[in-house]
Amino acid sequence: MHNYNVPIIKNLSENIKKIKEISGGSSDVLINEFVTGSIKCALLCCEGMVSTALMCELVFEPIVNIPAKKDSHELFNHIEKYMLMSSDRPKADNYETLFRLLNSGFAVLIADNINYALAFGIQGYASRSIQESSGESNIMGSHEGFVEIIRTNMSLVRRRLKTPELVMEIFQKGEKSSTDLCLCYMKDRVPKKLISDIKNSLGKIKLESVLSTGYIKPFVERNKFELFNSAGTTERPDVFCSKLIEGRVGIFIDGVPFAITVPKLFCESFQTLDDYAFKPYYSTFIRWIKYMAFLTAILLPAVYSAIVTYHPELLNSTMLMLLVEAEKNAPLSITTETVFVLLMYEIIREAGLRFPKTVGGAVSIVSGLIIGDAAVKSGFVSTPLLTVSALAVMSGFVIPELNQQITLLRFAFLISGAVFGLFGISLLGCAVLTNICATENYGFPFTAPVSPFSGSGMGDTAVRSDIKKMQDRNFTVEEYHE
Amino acid sequence: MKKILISFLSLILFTGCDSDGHIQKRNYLRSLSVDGDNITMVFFNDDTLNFNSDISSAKYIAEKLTGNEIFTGHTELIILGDCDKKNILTFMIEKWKVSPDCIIIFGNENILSEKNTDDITGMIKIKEKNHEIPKADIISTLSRILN
Amino acid sequence: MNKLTKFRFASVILISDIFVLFCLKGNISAITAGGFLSGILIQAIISVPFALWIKKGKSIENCGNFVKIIFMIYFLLWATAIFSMFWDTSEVIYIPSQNSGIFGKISVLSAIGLVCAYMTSAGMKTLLRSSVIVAGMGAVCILIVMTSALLKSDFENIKIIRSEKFPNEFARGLILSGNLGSFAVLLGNAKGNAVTNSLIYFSAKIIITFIILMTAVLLSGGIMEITDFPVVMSAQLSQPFPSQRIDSLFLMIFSIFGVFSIALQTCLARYLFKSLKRGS
Repeated sequence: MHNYNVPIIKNLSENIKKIKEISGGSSDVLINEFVTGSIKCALLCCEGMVSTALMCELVFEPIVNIPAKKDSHELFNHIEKYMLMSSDRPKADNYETLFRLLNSGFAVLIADNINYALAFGIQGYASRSIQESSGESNIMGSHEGFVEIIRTNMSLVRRRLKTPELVMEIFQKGEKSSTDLCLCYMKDRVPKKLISDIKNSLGKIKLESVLSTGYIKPFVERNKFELFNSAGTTERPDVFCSKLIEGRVGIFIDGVPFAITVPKLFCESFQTLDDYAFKPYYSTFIRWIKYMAFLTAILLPAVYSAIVTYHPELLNSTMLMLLVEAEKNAPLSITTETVFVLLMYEIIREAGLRFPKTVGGAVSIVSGLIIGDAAVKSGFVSTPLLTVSALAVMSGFVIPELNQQITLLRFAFLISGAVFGLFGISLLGCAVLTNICATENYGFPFTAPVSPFSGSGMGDTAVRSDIKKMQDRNFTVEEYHE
Repeated sequence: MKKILISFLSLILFTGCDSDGHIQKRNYLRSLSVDGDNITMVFFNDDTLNFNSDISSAKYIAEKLTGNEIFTGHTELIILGDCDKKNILTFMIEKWKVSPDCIIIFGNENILSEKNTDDITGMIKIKEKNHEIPKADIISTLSRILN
Repeated sequence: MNKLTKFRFASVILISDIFVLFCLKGNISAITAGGFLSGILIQAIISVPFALWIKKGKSIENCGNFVKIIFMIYFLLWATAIFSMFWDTSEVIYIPSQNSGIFGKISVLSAIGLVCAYMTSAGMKTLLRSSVIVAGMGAVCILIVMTSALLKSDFENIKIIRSEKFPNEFARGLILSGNLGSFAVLLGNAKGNAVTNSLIYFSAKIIITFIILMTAVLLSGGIMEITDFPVVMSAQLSQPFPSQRIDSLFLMIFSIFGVFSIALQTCLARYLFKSLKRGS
């Protein structure tokens, strides 16, 4: 493993030679040698990372007009004190920092007989513009979503929380990638211990690269097996800000349009910012629809299979005869049919995600024809079963954030229902409930405010209280800490 | 440990796929008549079965004759003729787990051949509603017999 | 263990008490309800000096290793007793596979054992958190089952008394009060006034016992002679609407409460064991 944490060489030629050696002769590392102030200098940049216009206007033009200086120190002193050139002007005294700045879109100035470099932030790389978030759509709120550039994301948050209490600390992780991470928190709201614990956890990261939230999340969650994530992610700046105000900690990752928020509570998966834009009674109604949808998504196929197979007395006789008639030609057992239909839905969903958009329509047609028409007409699957499975799948789409857990739990409950009927479903339900109640992050229980019960917390969980009632609460997550 | 888990899961999967899940391969008992050893069963698919047996082995014999499992949890009507009513009703509740709303009539199997189950149960419910007869469900009937 | 709130303290033990009532075997009548309730009242009165002792800052954990060992053994024995009640009662409630020969029985036993073991391994804190949710859900489900049961009840059944005698029913109630061990250990870990916590728990127990027993008497009092498990029978006879039974809902509450009750005892045994290890 190479260690580039060596001081910068004073001699310019040797310095340039060293830089070429470290970069391996990369074609995108541009080195422009010139003389200014009677001192030999070189300006380094990465092609495509800097804005050529800004470089000419802010760097080249002023820098070549410097009067003669005694030595490089005087030259750099003059540039630092009397020439602004850019708002972000770090220094690099070793090659590791130099290359990190170079690869971050800085223009780096080196000179003869000086052992440090000046960098100018004139980034101009191509990036995606701010668009609506793809996974967290809403009706009444902002339509802006995070992007891949960390500083743009920081600005989206800063625009919404114009308070000096908002702290954003940038640091780098990833030995090869040197990815910028940003820790955000409201210093008057966040529990002090939470910040120090999270910093300790992040300090344990020894990855080579950080390319998605999935690389960081395991470090800010507990090591034990947890079905549900105790660290949340969001693509929306307004949601992110609401979490920060509640005393949570947010983490941005450069290159990823998702932010991590810690800690997360189970009930948050059922809350959207739209809830606070609608009338309280409607928001409460929609919340309960989501809770029922969650249970329907997980339990409906299993309960249907268990009841029809083992507990038909639970159905009234008319419905039972309907099902018997529908299943007359079905060659497989109810459970096998259900597993088959659910697997087909998962395959279609995954295909719909991965297919190129130009042929995406074909997926809908094929799936509709094969599953919806041919399978039923041939008697391979029955219509009631298809209806039940479709209802369960659609209910799962109501809470896309929990899609992973819903999909797997649906199959697990189906199998337990197939083996032990409603008894099996109850046993697995106990195990899942235990796992959910065991989930906690930095002392914040995942099941708060249901357990530990908080009456005031239920005002934003069981119902959606009026904003006027909530405004005096001054809620922070510290209330739930155990 | 992983191998054990995988084997256990596979076992469960196989169990889930066996033939127990075929609801269409059962007969659902709708009404029953017991007159001495004469048993008459009427099913939801309108099939009728007549045979001689005591009540404890009636279900087994019926399953042998039809070749399908018989589900008794939705029984709507039981007609008791010449038989030990208390033991039969106790047996119905404990072993056959008939519906608590199952109507009990004291009569003979001819009632089933003259009228269908819907007509009989409808008639009983109207009479109950007009207080012409006491509650005819299995629990109330057995309660009266026991007390 | 963190300090428990009053609600958690009461709910975690009541779940186990309710389960014991579900498994009640033999005839019951209004005399049974009277005997049980009197027994609970006596227990409540006797608990007051114990609660005052707890209020002074004492607890079972501070009583020395011998007491801890006794309680550990007690919890394990009571867990076995609860499991035995679970197994007996499950003969009446339909659990698929249980009657499929030895393999079926082993698979049901394994499933129960696995879930109980997992719940125990998750620790006391997790069990207490889940008790709030289980108690809430259970209360709603029991309310539904009991309300539907009441629709079919007959108030004349209160008058029916067979061979039940008050002293026998009183003693029977005391025999089924095995959760007092859990009460004794958990009271020391509950927030607030121990006497208040104790009285809240016993008041809730009296109300719930009364509701469950009287509903069973009202519904299955007439056929008590042929009923082995009166509470189970009354749930099985629940039929809120014509041709719509909900006794399978009872199966779910029964299973959850059963597993929870066993896990509570094993969790407490584990908690005392850890306390012993820490002490040594």
